Amino acid sequence: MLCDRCGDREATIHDVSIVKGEVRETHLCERCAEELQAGQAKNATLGEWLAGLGMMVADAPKFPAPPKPGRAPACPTCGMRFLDLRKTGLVGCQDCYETFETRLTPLLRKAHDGGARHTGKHPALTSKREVIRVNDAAEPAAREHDSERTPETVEERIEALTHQLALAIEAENYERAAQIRDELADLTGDGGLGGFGASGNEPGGSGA
Amino acid sequence: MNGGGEQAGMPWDATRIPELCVRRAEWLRGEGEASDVVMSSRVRLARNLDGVKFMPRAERGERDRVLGLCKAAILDSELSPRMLWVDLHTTGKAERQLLVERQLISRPHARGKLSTGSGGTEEPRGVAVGLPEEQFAIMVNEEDHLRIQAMRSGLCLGEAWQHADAIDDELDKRLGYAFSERFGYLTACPTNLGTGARFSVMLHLPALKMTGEIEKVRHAAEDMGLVVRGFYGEGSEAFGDFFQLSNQVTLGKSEAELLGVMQRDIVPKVVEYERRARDVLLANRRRMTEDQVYRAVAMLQSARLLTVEEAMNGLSRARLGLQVGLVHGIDPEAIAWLILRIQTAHLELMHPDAADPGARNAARADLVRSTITGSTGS
Repeated sequence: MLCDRCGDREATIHDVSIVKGEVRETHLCERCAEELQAGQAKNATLGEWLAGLGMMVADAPKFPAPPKPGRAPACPTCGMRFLDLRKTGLVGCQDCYETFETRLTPLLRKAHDGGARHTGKHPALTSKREVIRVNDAAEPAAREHDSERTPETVEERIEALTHQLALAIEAENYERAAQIRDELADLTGDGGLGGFGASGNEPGGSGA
Repeated sequence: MNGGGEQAGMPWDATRIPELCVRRAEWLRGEGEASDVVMSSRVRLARNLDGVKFMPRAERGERDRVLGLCKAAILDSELSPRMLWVDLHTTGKAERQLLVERQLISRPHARGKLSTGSGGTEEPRGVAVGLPEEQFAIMVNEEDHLRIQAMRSGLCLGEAWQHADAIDDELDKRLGYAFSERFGYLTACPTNLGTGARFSVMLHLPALKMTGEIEKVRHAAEDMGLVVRGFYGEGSEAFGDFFQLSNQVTLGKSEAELLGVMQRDIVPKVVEYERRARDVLLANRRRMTEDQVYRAVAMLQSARLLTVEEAMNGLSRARLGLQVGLVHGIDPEAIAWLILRIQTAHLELMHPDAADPGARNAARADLVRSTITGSTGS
């Protein structure tokens, strides 16, 4: 197949896009694609050229194409591709948010009226960790975050973690089980209190 | 954790669902702040278990395990004096529909369908309901692993939030949630990310509908980042002038901010608009308003066949008549109560002979006629 642009060299770059339900194919040789890319960078010929082909700039394929949704690496945890995410509007697992962070951020800002960072409640696990740290390290300022929660004793925490450990093992979630086991080890004296407050991070916001 | 008169004991299962038909639902009690306009308040929290694939990617075995874990955690938590637990994948259609009508589960959850269209009635999923008041329900394996909802009558989002928050803490202790410092509670749909919280109210806005100002309110609400939906939530019609209003933004604002804006700013403003529209109707278009209200009452008192839509519209206008003093002698609670009992599954499970639509329309008209017995006013 010959290049759509020069009509001379063999087309080696092919793009198929669907615009308003219409399939549009573009076939280019490497040189023309490179020239177009350079032109695009200088904000020049691409639009004109496409207009000549009867295409609108908005419909224009970009060369070389930025990583297309379908070609982006899939989420290593659940195998979700960004294309699927866009199609269904749903992610496949918690790690998708990290995997597709750069693509999701503008969409999140749009959906949440500019909001891009959580400022609300933290799970009990996080806040209780904070309470224990506060109790032990005597940092009264941080206690405000948890003013409405009943401080949990170390014994209660151990009991809760033991229960969670059993659940994690039952769910075959061994990664989480290992985390809980580490936390338990910290609490029961194997590793001191290093797991709590080592980072000194502020909580992300106050609970309601 | 929750008070109530019923003795603690074994949870009820799906076989007890028909017994709900004769119980009043808390959210339709018709009492509380601004209850002339605000029927009920609801707070919903979307949560997922840490380290487990979300519903769109979870294999059947994982979904079974999530269901088992969540069921055990919920029933062990003593959240209510008595719990109803329903395995929806093994429960009949009418029973599932009854839970939808009582707003204890969503319509997609009744069908087992995700918003992507995947799934079906055999998908492992369930719901826990706090009895006897039905003030909370927890859906398991809906779009997220957990959807915790607390409901109250009238404008009462603060109390509903406290209840949902307490259940949330209790379940988190036992299950552990997927959470990130940056994105907050991680949800299957990015539109729920952050707090995972929806604060919503069910509003009765007949006057705004009659004056045609409802569209203005709808646009204003949408401009403020709110969603307006029909009686049964997403995709449903606003039968009988009932509308659900809820926040759309869940990321970047705390629960306290979202709650404060709804409870103190937005909802009181809409309540004020509706009340003003009622005054305007009575002052400027009294004859038309009386006509609509009295026609509705006459229909409710006399009709021999009633569809759901007719009954809902009639009850809505009769309720308006009561609120503005055109109608007397009808118990407002009876109207709220009828809004539930005229629904299809309620009739079907109460009247086994009302299996086809024609028979149901007759049973519905009989029920309404025997309940609405008051005078029609001046």
